[in-house]
Amino acid sequence: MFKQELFTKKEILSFKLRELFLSQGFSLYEMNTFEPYSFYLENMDFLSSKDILYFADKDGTLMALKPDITLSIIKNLDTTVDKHKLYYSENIYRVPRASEKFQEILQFGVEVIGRLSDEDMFNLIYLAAKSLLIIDDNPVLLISDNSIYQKLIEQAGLSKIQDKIFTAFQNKNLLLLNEVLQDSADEKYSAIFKALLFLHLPLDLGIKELETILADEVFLENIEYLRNLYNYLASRDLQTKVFLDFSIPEGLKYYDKISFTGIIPEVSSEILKGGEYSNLVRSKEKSYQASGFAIYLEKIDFNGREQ
Amino acid sequence: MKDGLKIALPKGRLGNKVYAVLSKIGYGYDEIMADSRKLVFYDEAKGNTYFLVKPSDVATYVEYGAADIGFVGKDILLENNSNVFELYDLGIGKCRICVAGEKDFPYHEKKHLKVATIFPNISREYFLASGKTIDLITLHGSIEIAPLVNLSDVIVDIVETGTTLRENNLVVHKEICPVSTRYIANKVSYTYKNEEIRRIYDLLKNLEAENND
Repeated sequence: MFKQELFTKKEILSFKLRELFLSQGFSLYEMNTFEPYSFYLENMDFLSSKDILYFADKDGTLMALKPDITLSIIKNLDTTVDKHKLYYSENIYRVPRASEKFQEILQFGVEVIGRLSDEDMFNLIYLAAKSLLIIDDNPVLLISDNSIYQKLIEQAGLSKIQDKIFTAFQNKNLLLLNEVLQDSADEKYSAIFKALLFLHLPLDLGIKELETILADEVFLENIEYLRNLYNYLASRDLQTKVFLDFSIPEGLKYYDKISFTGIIPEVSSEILKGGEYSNLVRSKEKSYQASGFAIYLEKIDFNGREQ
Repeated sequence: MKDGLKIALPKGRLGNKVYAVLSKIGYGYDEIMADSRKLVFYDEAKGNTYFLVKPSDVATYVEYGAADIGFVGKDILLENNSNVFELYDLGIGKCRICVAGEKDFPYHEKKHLKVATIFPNISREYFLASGKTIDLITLHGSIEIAPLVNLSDVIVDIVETGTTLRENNLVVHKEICPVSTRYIANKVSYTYKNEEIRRIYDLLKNLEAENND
């Protein structure tokens, strides 16, 4: 066995995360090749950053240095397999928000893809919460349900202004929400959107509040799903605080049901981001569902941490 | 040291107005308004820390977590595309972002413009949406001069009363958007210091209601 002093703090954290993923039955996915640049252009909606580094391969094909791993996993899936439980630890190439230049970023990710049960989905969220506890002893997991937005927007006939509504939610901006809904939505839907905007409660209390906000029976399925998720997490003596909050910073195009972000006090933006993206994986195999998350270790200042 | 709120306040005229509002809701700290060069103030009784920073930097302090909350003009939020919660409109520091130029400049007929501005991102987005192509010239102040010395056809700038424009023989050709001061919060602090951040939101709302009565 090697001595612990031989490893950096980041490496030790990486090993602990790997240990957790392996203990939950996930296997390592290694991406040893590059995808064509055109592949990412076709799937631009699903990338968090639009900047892609590309190069010409020996045969002249324009290839991309990995901006993302999930898309490649889906592309190369063996659809005869019932369930894929994968994790990866790969360098990706992106321009972070605070930077003007590309950076090489070590990204951890976990994906469960296949013919899945609700329990598979809940287990992935549990794994996200457990991962956060390895990183910090006071993490919070914020959970949202994007399918509730979609149902509300469809019911209220607001698809033309859905991007503006989403911007208002991302920024908890009541002023913008009022402006957007003023001429477009009737009172009933305006009241629902406004009530959801500031919803920020521990998951169990949040679900109760959601029941009063969303009285329509079309949302019973969503509330039942969230309640089952809460019961699943509560039965596992989880130390991570879990909140219901509808300002999750992610577009509707990617995560089509539950989405979540993980935060810790020492980092000023999310350190973990994930959710269910079954619509994307169904383009590959109709009977499949999918959920996953990524962890951004580069946001942690390891120099300021104790070994 | 108590783990209270870290509050970024804009220096200068806007800062004075914001400070007056904070005092009314019980978040004043007299030393801030004393004539000194100090930029950081710790209110030991309440545990809050105040930073006095350049108005255009407030959102940056909040976004990157150096401050939990701040008070900033909507123009800065739009220009920086700041990733913060924009919780409340204080209704102070009201003005407009406008396209202005010389009175006889045929703004509406021109398809291509030379634009001088301190807001390159707002300008780029606005003219892209309005179907005009532009050459963008970024300046850092006194931009009313630009059309007068043929540096640009028009300017995109903040207009409060219009006096500066009038005194330089310029007129507003188009209003882009209204601007006022916003109460903002860091997205992570919003969870970890939710009670305090929401308390200020409620106090600001109550103050507005009292003022309207």
